[in-house]
Amino acid sequence: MLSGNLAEFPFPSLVGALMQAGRTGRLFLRAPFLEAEVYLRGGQPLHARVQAGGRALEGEEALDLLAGLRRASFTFEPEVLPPHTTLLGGLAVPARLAEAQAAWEKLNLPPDWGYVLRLGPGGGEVELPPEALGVLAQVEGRRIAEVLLAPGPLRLARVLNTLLGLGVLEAVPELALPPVSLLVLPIYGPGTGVAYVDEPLYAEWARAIRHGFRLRLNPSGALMEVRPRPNIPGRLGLLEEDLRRLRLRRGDKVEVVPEV
Amino acid sequence: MDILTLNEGLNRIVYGFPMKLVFLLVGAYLVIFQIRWFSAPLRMVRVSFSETLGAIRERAYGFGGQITPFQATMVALSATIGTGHLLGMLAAVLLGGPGAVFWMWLGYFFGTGTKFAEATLAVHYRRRFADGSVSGGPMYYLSRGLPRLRFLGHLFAFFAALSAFGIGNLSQAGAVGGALVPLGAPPALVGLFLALLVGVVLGGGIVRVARFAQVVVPLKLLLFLVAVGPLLALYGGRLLEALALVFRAAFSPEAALGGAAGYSLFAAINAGLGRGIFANEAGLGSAAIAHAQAQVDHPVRQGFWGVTEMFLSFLVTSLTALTFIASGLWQEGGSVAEAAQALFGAHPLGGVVLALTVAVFALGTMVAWGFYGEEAAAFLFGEGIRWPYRLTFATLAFVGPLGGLEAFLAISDTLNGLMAIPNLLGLVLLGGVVGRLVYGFFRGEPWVLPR
Repeated sequence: MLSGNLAEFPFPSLVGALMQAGRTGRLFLRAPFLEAEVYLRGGQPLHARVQAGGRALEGEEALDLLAGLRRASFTFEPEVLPPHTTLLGGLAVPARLAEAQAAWEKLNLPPDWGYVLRLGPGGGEVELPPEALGVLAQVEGRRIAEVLLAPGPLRLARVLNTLLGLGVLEAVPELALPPVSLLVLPIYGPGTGVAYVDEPLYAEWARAIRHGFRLRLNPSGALMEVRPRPNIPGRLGLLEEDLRRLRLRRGDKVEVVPEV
Repeated sequence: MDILTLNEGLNRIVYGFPMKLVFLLVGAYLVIFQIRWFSAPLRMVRVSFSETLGAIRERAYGFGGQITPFQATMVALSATIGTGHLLGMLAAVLLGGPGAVFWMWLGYFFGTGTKFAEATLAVHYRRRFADGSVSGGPMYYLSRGLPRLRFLGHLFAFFAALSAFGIGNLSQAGAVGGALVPLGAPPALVGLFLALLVGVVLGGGIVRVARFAQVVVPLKLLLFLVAVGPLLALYGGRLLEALALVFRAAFSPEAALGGAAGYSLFAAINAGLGRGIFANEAGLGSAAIAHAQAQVDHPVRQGFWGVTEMFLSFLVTSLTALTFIASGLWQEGGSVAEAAQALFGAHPLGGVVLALTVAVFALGTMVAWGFYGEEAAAFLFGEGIRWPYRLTFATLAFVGPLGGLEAFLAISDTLNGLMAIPNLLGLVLLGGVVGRLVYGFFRGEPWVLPR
């Protein structure tokens, strides 16, 4: 069974190789929050389907979407026949894939489509076309994969790319990290707005998040920059100025949650 | 010249007035030039309390090590608050008059800098072992911080390992025996109890020593309050008068107390400084062995626990002295034992409370010193020495209440004083490291381990 990852073997090249070899079977792809399958018979792609949650795309639009997928594991199961036909086969498929690939190369969407979209922090004014406003109204709090899984994925990708580029939207990883209870430890020094956590805890969060993150302190709700510091297990280092501002003192228990 | 005559000469040097001035000057150098306490005195006081007594509710939370900073301080306090805080304090007032208390406070003030530096350096230069345990103290900061003068560390360890048998064991066990035997306890039984207790506690390593200290130090303070509280109430009306006398007699004892009293300024300074230095062990380096065990994120944090240790010691000695002065019994002269009997004769529980307090004070000191000696011996001879050292320590604890071995006690007393020489020299030479650590701590910088 052929298997690998699109990070090493891009989707258009993979399909091209299967077509050249005249293979029959099912190419199954799995990315975070997205699954896809492409059926080939005698080297001809006859059916493509992408689904995430309750939504699905089939046919050429599914191929358009898959051409932009940069990270996904795949397996090819030989001799599996398509349930039905959604692609015409022939030269139309490689041509469509090449066209989609060229379009995706001009875009700069995050490689992880599991990232969640939210309004950007910028406070400047921007002028948006009606199409972008329409997309903007629907995407907040949704994953990139969910947004793209709609008719016209390439068009949606271009709009998203514009919105992200302008800073109107930002894509952040969705966190499911549990809150951690820490004891306040004063750090004597100048500055404000910085919270220190033990190096191993910071490394654990950084591995899980893979993105810049801040720390939400509960119950005060304060959001602070977070930095690692050695030898403070179970402690949350706060600068004197912040202790005064947050009305905290040494030994107080604080629940902290990392946020991107 | 026989060994006892030589010892007597050495003893006069290490406990003599010039040596006391050296203690004071080293403390002043550290407080003024390295810790720079006076650059922001109020902030330093606030941080001292916030870092120690303000952190008392986190006493059960360490920083991932074997014992918490609070427990390390309890071990140090267990050794520091000893019989010298009661009987030694009475002796100082008898020798130097009420003015001695003022000079004692001066000794405490500068000794605070010394203790702060000792605790800070002990954590900074301690050695970490693969099992997570640590060892530290003057022998480590002298040998690791001053590689060219490594012999100073070995010298300190030699003095500490031997003096622990005498001043930290025999004389303490003798004090327990002296307190309990008049109450009807047979000396051999007291000795057996002490031998078993120190054997079991020391056998459990630092974790058990810390647990013991965590119980015995509050018990010491409670017993002290029970012992001194009723006397304070009894003589409370004269406390302000006693305080005024302390200040008046500090500079002109002849004028304040009358020439016939026989107190001179030198006697007041000599007796007072002696208490202010030797009661709290600042400069001897012993407490640093306990402070080194604390797991903290920055050595300066443990330095502040050293300050608290001094503060508690200061409270105990000062309350004892003020009660004694307020009672007026110091004017009657006589021996320390007679003065103590007379003072506590007015207590509702009589001499029993004094006996129990002295016994518990000595017991705590003994166990902590056993640990100090063991650590020093392990530094010199390796880990294999620990059990032989513990067994020897327990055996001597049995002998203590039975009496004898006076010559050995006299030598160990000198060795105890000699511990200060390499330690004070090291504190002066490593003062810059303390200064840099304090500066970094107040700049919010994390601790960087020494290379």
